[in-house]
Amino acid sequence: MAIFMFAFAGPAFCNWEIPFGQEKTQVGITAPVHAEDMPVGPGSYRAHGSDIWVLDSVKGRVLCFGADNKISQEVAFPALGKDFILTDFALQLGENGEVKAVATIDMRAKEIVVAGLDGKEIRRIKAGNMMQLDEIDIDRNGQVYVGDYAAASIAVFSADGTALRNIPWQASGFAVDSSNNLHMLSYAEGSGHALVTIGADGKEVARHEIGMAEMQNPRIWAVKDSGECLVSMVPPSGDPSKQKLMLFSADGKAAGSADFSNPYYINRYIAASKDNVWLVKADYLKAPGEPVKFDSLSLAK
Amino acid sequence: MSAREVFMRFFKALTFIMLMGLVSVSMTGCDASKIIDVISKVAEGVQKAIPAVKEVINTVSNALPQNTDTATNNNTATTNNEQAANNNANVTITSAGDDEDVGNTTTTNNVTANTTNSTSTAQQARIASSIRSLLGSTSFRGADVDGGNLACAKVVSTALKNAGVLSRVQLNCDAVVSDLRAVGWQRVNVPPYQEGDVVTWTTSRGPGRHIGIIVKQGNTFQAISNSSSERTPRVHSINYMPITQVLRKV
Repeated sequence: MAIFMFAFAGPAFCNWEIPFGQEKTQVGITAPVHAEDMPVGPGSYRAHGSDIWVLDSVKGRVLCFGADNKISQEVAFPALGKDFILTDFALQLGENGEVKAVATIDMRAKEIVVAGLDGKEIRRIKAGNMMQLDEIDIDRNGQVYVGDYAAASIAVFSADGTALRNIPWQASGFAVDSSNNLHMLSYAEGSGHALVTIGADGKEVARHEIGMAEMQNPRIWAVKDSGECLVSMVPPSGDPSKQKLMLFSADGKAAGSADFSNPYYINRYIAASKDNVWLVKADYLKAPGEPVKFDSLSLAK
Repeated sequence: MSAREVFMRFFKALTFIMLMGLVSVSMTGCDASKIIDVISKVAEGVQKAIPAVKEVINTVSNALPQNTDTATNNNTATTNNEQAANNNANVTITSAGDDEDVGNTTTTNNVTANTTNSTSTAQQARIASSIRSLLGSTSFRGADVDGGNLACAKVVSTALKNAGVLSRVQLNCDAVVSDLRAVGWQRVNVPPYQEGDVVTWTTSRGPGRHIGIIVKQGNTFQAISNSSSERTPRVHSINYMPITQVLRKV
């Protein structure tokens, strides 16, 4: 049977292995401290080019590992509060697609911190009105988007930290593209899911129905320059951790898919670069014994 | 005798027939053609018996009084047929055993099932609304829950009590699960998830040591449970830890 490989199916040369520990080249891990808690390790991963960027949630920093598995960049977030809880981070890209800043959210302090690659604070935004700070992205102009699961909305802040608006959101992920558009998902009874594109000014610029009403827990992970979107969903039956990762063209046509099992204790575990998709493979309960590894996912039609 | 009991008797009879088949096989030795012949005869016998069993089930079902909920809520059931049908299609009831799934039972009486589901839908909405009202609450930081460290069961049972599902607040997960089972909640297979489902997770301390309630936004099902580190209920992914079991009123 012929298998057609589509975008996000390029050769995977990177074999990152990220060890846990106290050393500077290792990421932190905290065993469950509280009775109901999970182990705390890196909460979020993002891919860019041939690099993997890791939110070291325990140590309050972001690390970049190159294709050679060596750390090429470390950004320690400045002046984090006591007992910070970093749930997600985002990369701000420059005009040429280079990483020029990183942004994170501290759920406990209800703060958004944007820092340059030198670790200097660019912006600190107080988000006291938000109930939870769960997901973040930042566009090329520095406009910040923060998802709040409890309020079911995305709070939008301008580059200077001004609160602009709240966008109703179904807690199904979001991503910004190179044209500073926000991509999200919307579900309606009957018609199913739709890909929605919202301009930087908050106006809806496109909506494409993708249906699949029987699938649950949709999440958009990444959007390419071409407008192709990477979306995961939970099939209507099967193991709870089994999901389907799908690629949709800019006009909402299915262009490829892959099955995967999600890891636990990690907020952002699908990392997509221009050509590849990586699934984080880690069990934080086994840390520090087993390092974080990555599986390359090929999206076949 | 209920339809379920009739089914059970039928399956017991079927098991007996199969055992007899196996005995026959052992008596005929390992001759493949004889084995196939015996299996064919057994299968033929079972096939012939099915219509008779169905007839018995129908007779018994018709003779039984209809579920009280059905009688009192017929209108609701009719207006909610579409939704109930959707729910129906999604529900797989698993045995109430604690640790093992011992076979599945599917609902056969559509009217009763629809009514039950419409009632359940209203209850699910009440539960979801109840747990949402506790988001960000600082009321679960008392000494009884170690300052918020052990508050998951109290949060969930408070929400269920406020929604009219349970009559008391409990301080441990097993007690909440036990109380739910006592009022007819059962373990179900997920996905699909439903709003108002109660979920327990396996933590580093063992299975079923954390508990929460499933809520819905659009088609995204998440959970609300107490966060020990933040000492307040919060919304999070259902799959952030391994699921032990999901309970639902069915």
